Amino acid sequence: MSINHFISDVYYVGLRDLKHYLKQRVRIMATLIQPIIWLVLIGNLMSGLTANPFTLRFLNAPSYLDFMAPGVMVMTTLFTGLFAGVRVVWDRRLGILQKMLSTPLSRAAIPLGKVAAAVVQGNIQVLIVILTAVIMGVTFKTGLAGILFILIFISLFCSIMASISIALSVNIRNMETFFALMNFITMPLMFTSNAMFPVEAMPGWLKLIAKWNPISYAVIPLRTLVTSGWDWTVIWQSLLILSFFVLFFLAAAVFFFKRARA
Amino acid sequence: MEVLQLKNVTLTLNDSTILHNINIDFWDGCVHAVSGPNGAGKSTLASTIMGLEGYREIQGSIIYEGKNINNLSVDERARLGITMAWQDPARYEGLTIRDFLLASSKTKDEDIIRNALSSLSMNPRLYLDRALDKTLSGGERKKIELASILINEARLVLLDEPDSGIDVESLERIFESIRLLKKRGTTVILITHSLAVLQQADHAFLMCSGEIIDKGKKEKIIKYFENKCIPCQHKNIPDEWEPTIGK
Repeated sequence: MSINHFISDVYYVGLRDLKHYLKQRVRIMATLIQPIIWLVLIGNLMSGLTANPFTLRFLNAPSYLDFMAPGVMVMTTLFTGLFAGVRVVWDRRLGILQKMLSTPLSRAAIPLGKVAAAVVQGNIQVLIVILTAVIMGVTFKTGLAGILFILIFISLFCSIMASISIALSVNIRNMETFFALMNFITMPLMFTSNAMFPVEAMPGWLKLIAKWNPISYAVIPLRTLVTSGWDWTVIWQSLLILSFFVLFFLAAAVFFFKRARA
Repeated sequence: MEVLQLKNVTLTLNDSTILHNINIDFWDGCVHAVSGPNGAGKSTLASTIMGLEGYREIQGSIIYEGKNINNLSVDERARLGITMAWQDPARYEGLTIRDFLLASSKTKDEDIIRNALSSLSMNPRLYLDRALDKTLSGGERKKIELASILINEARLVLLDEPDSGIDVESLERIFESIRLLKKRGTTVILITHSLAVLQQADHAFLMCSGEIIDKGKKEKIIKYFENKCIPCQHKNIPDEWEPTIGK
């Protein structure tokens, strides 16, 4: 199979998932409103509590909203990415997966297409978060160019999470198990990261977990781009680490998908 | 020459034996029909040959072009040239017919896709940009699935109830497609309980209660249908049932 045909297979799988997503208006509304609620409710609430020099020192940002906005972007992507596997479970239940597999479509193109669709969804959602953050007064130190970099980081992080989700979903036969597993993963990941709270304010044991939490690797460069500016050391380091994980987890998703029972 | 051989194939699902010691040879380039009443195990046989999930834990062996394919997955079998058109075609919500057919095609050549649609009396101009979803009738989806079979140049094609949901006019087009597949040298296995479909075959097998109870020329198998399939004794019906036909 030529590379062009393979890319075309990835495109058709991704296109199908994306069009399916765009048809689900209630789901789109929910996924778009959720981060807005985080910013408007939690952001405003915590801004009141943190508006003093002592806590602002921990935040290393002009306000809690500026501190929190990158965290909300990553959280939104975390949910989008981790729920990419739901389409695998769904396609299997409807028999579509087996039908796809009995065509010349490349088997590896199926997980990759689904990851690509999740990345596009993640970027759409993050653009809405950015717009809401700007309306609420968050200033992006690196301007429009910084937003482009944010989207690159979001794409990398979403690829990692979607790959993990697909790798886990290949042998799951029902929705209930899938959702239970994803909820089990998302909550601890979210609350043991630096997305919502500064690592400096955490106890030692939690600091250690937050340091190794993959969410932190995505939040750090985003927060740098929003609140500090062009710190190229942080940006390059994060790009390298996330790119490595993208390759690793994409390979894992393809491996597990190929190995799975139909 | 045999392209596919099933040797002593037995399939048990949930402690119930669905296929009993099946021994069949399918010949290269021929059209075969597997016939029998509802519940005979015809579609299960097709799923077993295709290696679908839940149908791979078999006893016996499936030999394709001289190689045992028992342990191969659906896509591995598809790569060897085996494909299947389901009784109930999928709705690939989100894709247009063009996208679906291009995705199903090895060559990604739109002319081939147009020809396949035309051969099934579907005007490419009217259909290529339509969504492959609930706006299409069951018969239209069936024909599109058959078009995908025509373009993917498989060596062995399983057609499960190719006439279900198809109008009389389109049925002849489907039969033409079967003849086209045969002309190309493709081995075709028709899963059917329809006399009209059975007529398209060179050889036929009669199944009942998961067993092959007869095989041979289609004319011989058709006779069973004309006699309401009595010789197979309908093992899956209650004991108190007694055939009245012929008494």
